[in-house]
Amino acid sequence: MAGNEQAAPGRRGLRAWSGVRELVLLPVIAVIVAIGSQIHPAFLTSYNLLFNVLGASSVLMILVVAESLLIIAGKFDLSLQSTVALAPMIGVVLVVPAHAGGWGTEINQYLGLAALFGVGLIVGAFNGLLVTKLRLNAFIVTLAMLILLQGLTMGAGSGRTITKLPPAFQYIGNTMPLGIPMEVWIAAIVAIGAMLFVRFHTVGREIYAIGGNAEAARAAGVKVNRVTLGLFVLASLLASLAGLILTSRIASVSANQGADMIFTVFAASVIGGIDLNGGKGRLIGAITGVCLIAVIQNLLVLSEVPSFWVTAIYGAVIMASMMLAASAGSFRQILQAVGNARPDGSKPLS
Amino acid sequence: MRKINQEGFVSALAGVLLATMVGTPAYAQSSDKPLIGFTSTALTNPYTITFHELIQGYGKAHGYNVLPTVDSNSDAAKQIDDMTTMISAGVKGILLETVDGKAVKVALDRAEAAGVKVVAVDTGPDQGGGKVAITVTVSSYVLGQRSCEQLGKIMKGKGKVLEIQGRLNNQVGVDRSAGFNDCIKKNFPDIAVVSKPGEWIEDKATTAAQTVLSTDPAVNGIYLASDSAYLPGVLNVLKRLGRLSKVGEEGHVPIVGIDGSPFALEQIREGYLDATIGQPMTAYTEWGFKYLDAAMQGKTFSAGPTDHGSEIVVDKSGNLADVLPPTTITVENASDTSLWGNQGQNN
Repeated sequence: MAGNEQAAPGRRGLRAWSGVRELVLLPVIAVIVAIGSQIHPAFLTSYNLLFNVLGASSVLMILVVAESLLIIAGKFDLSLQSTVALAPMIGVVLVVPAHAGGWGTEINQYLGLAALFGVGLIVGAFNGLLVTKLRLNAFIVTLAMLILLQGLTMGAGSGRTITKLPPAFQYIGNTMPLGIPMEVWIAAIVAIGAMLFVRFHTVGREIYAIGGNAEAARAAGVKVNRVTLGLFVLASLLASLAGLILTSRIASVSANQGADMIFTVFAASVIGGIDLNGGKGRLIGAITGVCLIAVIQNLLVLSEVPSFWVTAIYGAVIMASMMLAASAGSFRQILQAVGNARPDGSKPLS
Repeated sequence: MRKINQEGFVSALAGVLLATMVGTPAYAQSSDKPLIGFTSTALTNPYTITFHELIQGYGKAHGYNVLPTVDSNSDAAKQIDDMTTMISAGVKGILLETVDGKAVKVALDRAEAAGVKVVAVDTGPDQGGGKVAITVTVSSYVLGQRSCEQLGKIMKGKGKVLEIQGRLNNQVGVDRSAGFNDCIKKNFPDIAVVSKPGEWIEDKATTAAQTVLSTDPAVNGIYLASDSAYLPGVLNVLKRLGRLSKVGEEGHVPIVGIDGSPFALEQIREGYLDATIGQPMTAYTEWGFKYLDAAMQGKTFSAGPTDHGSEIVVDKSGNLADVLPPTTITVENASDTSLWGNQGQNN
């Protein structure tokens, strides 16, 4: 039901509210931040927020934006987490000398960066073609791709962790324009760019139409296959970028980097209100989902929670956040019911 | 949502099929020497890869007929399937690097029933995990203890340590932490420890180090449960915070790790890492083969001191274990070619 937002005349108040409903996580984040400020004096410092919360979640942020765009269009890409490893691995092995784990090609490091994005381009195009031209199920295609790419990463680097990175691959992790880490700048540009794209660009709005009802969208003249293919390519390119950032943060590239990350990516998207059935949800919601997870993870490191209980508390806090957000949601439903009742004055509260 | 569940099921099936296809090695060797298999935990890090190279190299050099190494992908179920396949392929002996000390029982029971001898190397079965001829290992608890002794000495018994732990649902991770913390409490009561789980994941460890080091200026020492996974990211964090300096220089933050990875040895030589405690991988390999050879000839072993400076004990699983002493690596012996970190192909 993509039409939810086309409010009927006379429901102006509700329309304004509907812009806010993707932000139900904001009060939850506010509560957690308030608790956090009591837990550790360093929590609310700008350094902690910029470097340890936003910096540490920049990779997740970019992946969530990429995945959310696909989910809104009614597709999935599970293989993004493998691209996070494969793209930088290929980029690095082409550049570094054989004694550092490379292939001995020793190409220019900027060509290495180009190769990194080239991997994203090829993987995304391959996924996209299988899904659009061969009409294969995105879930199965990208799951197979996840395994294949993981294997390619292992093969390409002979399973090794490469630590002698070319300078271009370390640049992001060690640069701070205006005192703000480079990865935060990049994540912000990606997030804001994607939000503007879906809101104001025709193709961006078509994504919702495709996810809502692909056949109807096609009938309305939307080039469904072309847009879907483009989205797969865009998502893989963003995953390559995320891989570059991750590599520069951990100052190495390892065969299993990014492993299991896709679960957190889906969690953040869904927590933020992206509907897994496609066609619904706003990017701003998914972005607040990332912020929520980032703040909780930061607080768990700062707090004195015994290590054995960290995972349990993490799960409990996420669940409690969902319950808080849901209660804010039911408040919205009441408002909606009141709004529905208003125009003709007869509808009961239900 | 129903649609997604069905898809999930089908894709899980597809995944299993793919994994099975990928995992089956070619059994095409023949020789009069008995056939031996080696099952590795995961060929995704320098440690297990060097181990794989050492075992294949030793096997070749000493005329053993070793199948290509089988990678379990850190998947206990896959290791069981792989071992079952090896048994039906006619191996007489298996060198086992255990993924899950309890789950492996199924495979060990099958091996026993088929008369196939198994020697566990590095990690063996756990309590209730079935029978092996012997396990050749090092104590993870002792590794943690040795790290504590090194770091405590360097910090002169005072200050605050950031401990980045391993995965805590894994015996190795738990023991490396317990050995370190028990020793600190006992020998260095003036050292406080802040422990953060790193789950053997580079990114997690880097974020924990970044967060703790930037918010707690009192931390003046670091203990890494795995230098191969954590050290590059942690050194990068120190660099970013402007706190990276060499041993002996003003403001140096002492770091002690476990593993002795190629990168760690290099950083010791360059002066950024103080010490690390390494597993005696060459001895694992040598004794793994020697014990397996003896077991295949029908010999059995008994508890007590050995002729190579270690002691055979009965471990928690009720099996015999030859517990070898770990190697403490500092700037004095970091170039020693007998260290596994100096033996891989690309070092």
